[in-house]
Amino acid sequence: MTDKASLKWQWAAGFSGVAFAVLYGIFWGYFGHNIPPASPALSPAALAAFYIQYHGSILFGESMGAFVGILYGTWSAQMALVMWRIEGANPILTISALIGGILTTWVVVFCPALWAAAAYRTDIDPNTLRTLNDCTFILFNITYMGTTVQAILAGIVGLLDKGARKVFPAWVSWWAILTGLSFIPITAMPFYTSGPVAWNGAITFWIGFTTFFVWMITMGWYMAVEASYRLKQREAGGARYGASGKVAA
Amino acid sequence: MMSDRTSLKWQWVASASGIGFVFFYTIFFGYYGHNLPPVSAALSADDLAAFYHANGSAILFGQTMAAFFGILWVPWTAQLTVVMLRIEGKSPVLTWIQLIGGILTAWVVVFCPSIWVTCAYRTDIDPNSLRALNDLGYLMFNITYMGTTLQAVAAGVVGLADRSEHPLFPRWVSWVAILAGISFIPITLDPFFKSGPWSWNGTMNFWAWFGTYFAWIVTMSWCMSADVWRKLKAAA
Repeated sequence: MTDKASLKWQWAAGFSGVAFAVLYGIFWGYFGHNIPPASPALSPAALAAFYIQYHGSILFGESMGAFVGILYGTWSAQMALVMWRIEGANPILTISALIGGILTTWVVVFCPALWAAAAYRTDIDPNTLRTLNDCTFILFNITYMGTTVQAILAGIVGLLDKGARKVFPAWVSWWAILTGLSFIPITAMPFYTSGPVAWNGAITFWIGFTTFFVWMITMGWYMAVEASYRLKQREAGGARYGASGKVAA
Repeated sequence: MMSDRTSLKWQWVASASGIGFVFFYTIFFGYYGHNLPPVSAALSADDLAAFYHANGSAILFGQTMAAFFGILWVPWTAQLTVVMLRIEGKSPVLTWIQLIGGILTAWVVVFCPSIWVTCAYRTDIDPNSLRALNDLGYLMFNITYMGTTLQAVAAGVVGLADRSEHPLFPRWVSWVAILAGISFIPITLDPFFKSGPWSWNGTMNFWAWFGTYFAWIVTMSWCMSADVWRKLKAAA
């Protein structure tokens, strides 16, 4: 494959982080009625009423959430490529981050499928519904460590970039580290059905999602910008540069 | 370091594991698991329970063995990754996307059978719980297809971009992969239909995931196996 063709795909993969943030916000967030999610304190009957009231919208939002969620995977692939270039030989931080990215992709694609299953039958027994809903929110949230590992390592590698033209401004790398750390209180989530750490609370939901989306948008943006820059270099026939000062694609 | 011949022998096994996957998964998930086609989504909870009562042992066996053989998707994906790395060269973003899609697909074909095993595990399971679990299995199996779509499309795109004298994949094989990936898209309609062509056992949506993927895996496996065989003969 030619360098120019590859760089176009790399641009798309980098930008897919921005696309994920927007599309997942629309489908899972808005149509799925997750801004914020329904309270874990709802009784089975009240939760069933919520699912019945928003049945079509939830089914649509979660189906499309599973569809657009894969963009987390494409963004993680470009992240791994960029980190690998910076880290060089023995890219242990890159591989660890990639594993975290793959696990996170599972969460953002498969949990919507679980919620779609919960919404599939309007005559589902309310207790079964609540159990399925609980299971999915817990799976979605307390498994954050994959995402934390990816975010912190991306930030560290971004800060360690010694190339002539750094991929990420320092503040973007620091934001990534902050994002990874911001999820840690979520481990307390199973102990609360209300308050700031519950899955609809200020810390778990509002802070957690804000840091997460800003991280994806900023790192996605700068990876796309980098691919664009390299493409312009190719088209101008300019010198090839590498992230660590060595010649690279 | 591993010798070329040894490496090529493992690569042949990995290439052929795609055909092995198709063969064993059709027997166990398809035939014993009673998924040719799957049971209708329109069945009442009691009728579904009766279906599981009638076919419980076969389903338990078929899905347990599907979880066992499903792992063949992993070595197949690994070989496709090795082959794509060679073609894509430096900065192999499409290869990584294919790999991530392959790993997520491997999760589906191994772990969803374990959900159906859970369904068949207790003959006295409450019919409503049974129906919810069965729904969960099919919706997770189906509407998460985008990983598989990206795997197929990325493989096809890289196959088409192969500028070597003897491309590993004939152009039509790459196009089969791309078309297979795109053919899964109507599966997003699954949650909205309990019967008809767009439900999970429907003429359109069932054959999309059972039929087109079949053509994609068999053709790409064949090409990869043939490529390794040629290299083994040359190394002799």
